[in-house]
Amino acid sequence: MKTAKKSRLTRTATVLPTKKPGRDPVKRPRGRPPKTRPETPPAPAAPIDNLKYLENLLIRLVSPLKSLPVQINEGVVYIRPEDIAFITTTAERKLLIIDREGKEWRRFDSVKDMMKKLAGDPRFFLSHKSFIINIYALKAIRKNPETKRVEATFGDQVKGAAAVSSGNMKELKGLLEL
Amino acid sequence: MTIPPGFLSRRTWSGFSVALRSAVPGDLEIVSSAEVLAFRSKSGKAFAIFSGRTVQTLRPFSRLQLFLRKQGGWFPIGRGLVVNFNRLVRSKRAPGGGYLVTLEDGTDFNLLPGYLNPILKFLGTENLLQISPMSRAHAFMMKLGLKDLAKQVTDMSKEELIRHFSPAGGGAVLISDLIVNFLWQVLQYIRAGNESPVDGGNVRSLWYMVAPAIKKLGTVGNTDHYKTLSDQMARMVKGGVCSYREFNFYDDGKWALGAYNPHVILMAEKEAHFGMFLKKMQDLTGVTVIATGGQPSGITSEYFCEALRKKIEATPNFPPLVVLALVDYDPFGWVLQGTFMADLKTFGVKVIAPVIFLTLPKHFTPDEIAQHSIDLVKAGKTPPGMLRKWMKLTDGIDGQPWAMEAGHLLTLRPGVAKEAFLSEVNPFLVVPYPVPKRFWEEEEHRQQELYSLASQVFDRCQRARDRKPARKG
Repeated sequence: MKTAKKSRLTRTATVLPTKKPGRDPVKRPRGRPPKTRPETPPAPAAPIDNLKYLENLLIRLVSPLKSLPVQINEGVVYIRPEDIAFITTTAERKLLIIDREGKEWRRFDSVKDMMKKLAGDPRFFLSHKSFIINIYALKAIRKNPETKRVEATFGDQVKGAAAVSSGNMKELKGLLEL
Repeated sequence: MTIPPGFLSRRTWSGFSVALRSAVPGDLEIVSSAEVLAFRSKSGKAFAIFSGRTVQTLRPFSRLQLFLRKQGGWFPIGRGLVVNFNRLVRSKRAPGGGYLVTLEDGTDFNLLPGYLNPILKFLGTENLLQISPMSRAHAFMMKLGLKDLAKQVTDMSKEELIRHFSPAGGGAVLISDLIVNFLWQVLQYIRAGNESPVDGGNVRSLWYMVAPAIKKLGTVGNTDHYKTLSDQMARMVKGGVCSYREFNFYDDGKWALGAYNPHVILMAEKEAHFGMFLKKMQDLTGVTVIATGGQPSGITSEYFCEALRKKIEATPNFPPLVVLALVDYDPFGWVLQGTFMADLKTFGVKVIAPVIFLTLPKHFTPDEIAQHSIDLVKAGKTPPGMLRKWMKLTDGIDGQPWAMEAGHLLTLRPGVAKEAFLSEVNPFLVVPYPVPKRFWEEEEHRQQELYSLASQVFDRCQRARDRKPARKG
């Protein structure tokens, strides 16, 4: 179970370098270049659907969470925890849940209360006092050139990004085994 | 450790194997129960319902139920129908009563209320229509008939309007629901950071936006739907969903905050009394004045209260508010005053002291009463219940159901009206009368604000005109 989690984490998360722009981060090799080995034939494609299915089953086995009810105008929609990209708050102090397809959903509790609900699930991490992120949905961690703050992004479908506070960065890196 | 049977499948929703009868006699199809949406019993046979197909199962319904009880998320929702709630994506009120539950592939099932409790327990919620905690404003809007619409109400065709806003039984379109959804969409547009489409206008401006959509249904001429719109707007404001300020309406209400004694509010029900009496008393005592013009306008009440609240917040040790009412001595006058007080409460202005009425029989001579009083029973305009209540509160005039208009006090005995006001207001004044005329400085400031608002509107109109291409030829 742990191995599956590790492989998933290392596959999805990409940390972009955040070093100063003036320095070349790539060290140039000195002396004679090493001998290159002939390329090995590519491995047969993994049955991704089956792996994903297995991974979902394992996470469901670990996670105490059921589908999360969110409010719509005519009733209630139930979203699966694995479909959540990140959770934040709106200007009207409502909870905004953004799923992996970029759809936005509303709840009316606080980030703190939501984190208590999600605490038993290893996927969710309080990256900032007003952001909860699904580390399995994470695509990149980068420094925003405008705000100079570290933020987590979740692919092209998800608009916006979740802030990562500097105090939580170390813990997040630990979770991502970086 | 003993692991009970079905533990893993319950935790992972992976299901158990189900044998289905194939089209070829004797052949069996084996599927996982996780793929099945529901099992139905019909004519003594059991059927598995999938997305787009229904197949008879090998086992009878009673045997399947034994397995389903061990699995988490399978619940009966009617007689002979068990549904897989692990695949639930949406629940809402069914048009014919009960609930409509939608599964992952979009299949809808009707859930009867009698089967609700174990499902709620499984989902960990208290209600299939509202989550907990719930926003009061959102719950209020749901009661008003808010819908999830992918399109703007104003852009919908006649067929789309009928589909969304007809009740379950068909027939007429619910215009009130249509208007609520229109108002909500405008509000969301403004809250997204856009400029109000009715900036500087009034509620009538909103009506001009939605009227074409209602016209498509051919019902504009039959009923006064503008009234429906203003009523629904007022309900949304009173329900705390929005404010008139968010729409940035223009207020042409007759009111002015006092410069010296703003905590004393002199209210009149007739607009004509603003110039005749209120302004003069404000010049003399520096009190706050407002003429509601009959039923107080929601916009005026909100803007008046907003200005008063700002004044209260900006002034340390603001004295408690006092209201003096120059309303007709009749049941409708009392109701108007009550509405004004309720509006103050709605918009966050707290008044503890009881209202002081100025139009009272004691201010008239017996001859004036005999000549000008109105017999409310003979006039027949007042509902009996309303009249009874008013009589209980005031005892009419000498125990008779007679009324006197506020206008008579001002025209017949202007000196008495002034004296009555001054004697009543004197104990509450912080700055004694006569006050200096600094009130006009405030009035001038307000005039300047109005002038700048008008200039902004004028500039915007001019910019819009400049953007239009010049006509050729």
